[in-house]
Amino acid sequence: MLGPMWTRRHAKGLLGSATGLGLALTVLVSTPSPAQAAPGPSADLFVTSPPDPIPATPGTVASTTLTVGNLGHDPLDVNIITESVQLLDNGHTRLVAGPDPRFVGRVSIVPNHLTLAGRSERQVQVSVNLPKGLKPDDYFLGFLISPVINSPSVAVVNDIGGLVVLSVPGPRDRKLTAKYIGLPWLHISLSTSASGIIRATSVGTSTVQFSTTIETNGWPSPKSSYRTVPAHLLPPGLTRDIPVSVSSWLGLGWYTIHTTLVYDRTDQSTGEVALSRTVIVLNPFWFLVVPAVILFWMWRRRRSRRTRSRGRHRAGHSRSANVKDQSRVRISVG
Amino acid sequence: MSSPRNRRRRWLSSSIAALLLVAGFIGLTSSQAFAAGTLTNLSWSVNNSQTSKTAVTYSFAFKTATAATLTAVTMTVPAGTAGTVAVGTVYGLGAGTVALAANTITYTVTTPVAVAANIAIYLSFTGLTNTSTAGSYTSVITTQKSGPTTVDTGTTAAVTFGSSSTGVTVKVGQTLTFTNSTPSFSLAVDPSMLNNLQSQAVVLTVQTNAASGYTLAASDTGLSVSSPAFTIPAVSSGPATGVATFPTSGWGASATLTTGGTDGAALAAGLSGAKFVGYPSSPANFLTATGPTGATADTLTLTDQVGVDYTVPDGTYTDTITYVATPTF
Repeated sequence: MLGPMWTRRHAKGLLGSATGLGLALTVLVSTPSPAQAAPGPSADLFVTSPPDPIPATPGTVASTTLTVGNLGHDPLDVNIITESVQLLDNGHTRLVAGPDPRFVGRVSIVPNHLTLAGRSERQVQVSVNLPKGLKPDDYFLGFLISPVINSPSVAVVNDIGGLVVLSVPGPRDRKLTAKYIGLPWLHISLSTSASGIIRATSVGTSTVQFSTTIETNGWPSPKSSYRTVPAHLLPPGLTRDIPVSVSSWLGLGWYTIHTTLVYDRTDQSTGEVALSRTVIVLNPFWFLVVPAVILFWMWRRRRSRRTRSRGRHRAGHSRSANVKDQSRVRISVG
Repeated sequence: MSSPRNRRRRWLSSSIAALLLVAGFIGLTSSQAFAAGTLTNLSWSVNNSQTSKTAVTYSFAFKTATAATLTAVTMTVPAGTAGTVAVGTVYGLGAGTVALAANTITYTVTTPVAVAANIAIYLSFTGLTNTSTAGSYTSVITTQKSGPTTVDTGTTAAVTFGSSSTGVTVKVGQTLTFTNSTPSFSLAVDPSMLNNLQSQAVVLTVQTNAASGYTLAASDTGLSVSSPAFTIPAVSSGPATGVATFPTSGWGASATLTTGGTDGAALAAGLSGAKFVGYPSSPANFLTATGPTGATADTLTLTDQVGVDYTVPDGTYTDTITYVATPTF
């Protein structure tokens, strides 16, 4: 009936998953017991990591702290280990079992085991002995915080991960490219908006940090819209998508999107990628409106012609009298 | 009574006066167009105000007053400010270079572009060393176009530098909280029609201030028994594919999401419309958020469900589901 915790840990290692919460589940088939047993108590944790990259010089020791807290009311034993970080597109990460090969035996966590009272937190000191040959760049370190659960039948483990970025100073090769995706110049759709993405790609060999400014102007919007996207880190070879959209309440519009991505090329200078795209938004309803207007105009023209010709027929006998009246008026004015 | 000649003369003099008035107004307004505008919403801040402190970051923000093709922005700093200035963060202007000379930081735009009026611009510079002379200092920010010609200018509020002052830097850490209301459960099922389908709700909450949000992935080892070896099949290959009808023999989950609405949290495609998905053997995203949750945590209610028929051997089946909450950088 027991899903042992260490079986879970081994399985997780095999799967390469890391941060998160483990849930042990037992299902009994053909056992005459109640359909559902009461769930076990929860173990709720939080982890706070430093918000900015930690300056790190090769050959020295870089230090930072993690804060680990127990949000539950019961005491909790917690283990802290380091794991590799798999960097993915759009800033996503996945922790992979085992330490980062570049820092094997170089990461010290004090304490790496602690007992947290209910509703309490502790600081954990993390020190990294940086290899001398580490080239200038940003390095992501991952940490896994695992509560120790002792249960005779069902093991429950909540894991939470933390990320620490080490920044090794020096000249870097930062390059950025960008393009629009999914934004055709003519967008025909029943919706009144067109949306796509700006895909930024780090094509250098170093992590680049960039901010994005998007300006949209066009018709029928009277004012330009202006949006800034906060700075993001983008490791080499990865991409980040920034959503962009235009909409027209009329179902008909003409917009130009100007995008500027500014990145730190060197410490003293920034580089930029400027993009521009014009998009026409057209609701197919307008395909009906235009012929309808033409038909209406033709109908009005035909009707007015008929009315005029009928009028000429009716007025045919009295034309001479009118001419006489007009001449009489002319005489009286003169 | 005035004669027609007098009337004509009066009309002529009034017309000339009106023309002069219009000409004067045009002259006045056109001369104003050539004068520098005044920047608005100016601010200057430093992350440490102790005199002679090194590695300080100066941040400047303002809104343009006049539309122009900007080539540079200059910002005065206190006499004695030194250091190796570097570009921090730039919003609202294109790429450029920075230099510190004659108590002025100059950010030169590499490829000048037109900047409209009322556009917010933010510039921060790192690596500066504060002046050694205590006192309150304002900064004059000036935008320039080719020439160089001043476009707009303005003066910020003062920043006080002092040896006895305390430089305050508040760093807000990145926190991820992950809770689970039902971390373990047992279900008893049998193939009879009365008890062949059982489920258990698991409520997970995630709250974070991570600017780029987080992902919540899940995987499992499979709901299986060792003797005889058998695994109850997952209802689908993963969260990308959902099934509307739960199979007679299967293992999976449906999910509902409650969110504060500010973090762009969204469930995987297969979980839409209360469909069931299987847990994959390697982590796959069940939930993705693109921004911080703010005050309201994202609540993911998972309904884990198992169905058995007479093809499923009896025994004690175990599984380990791992939910992976990872901050996005």
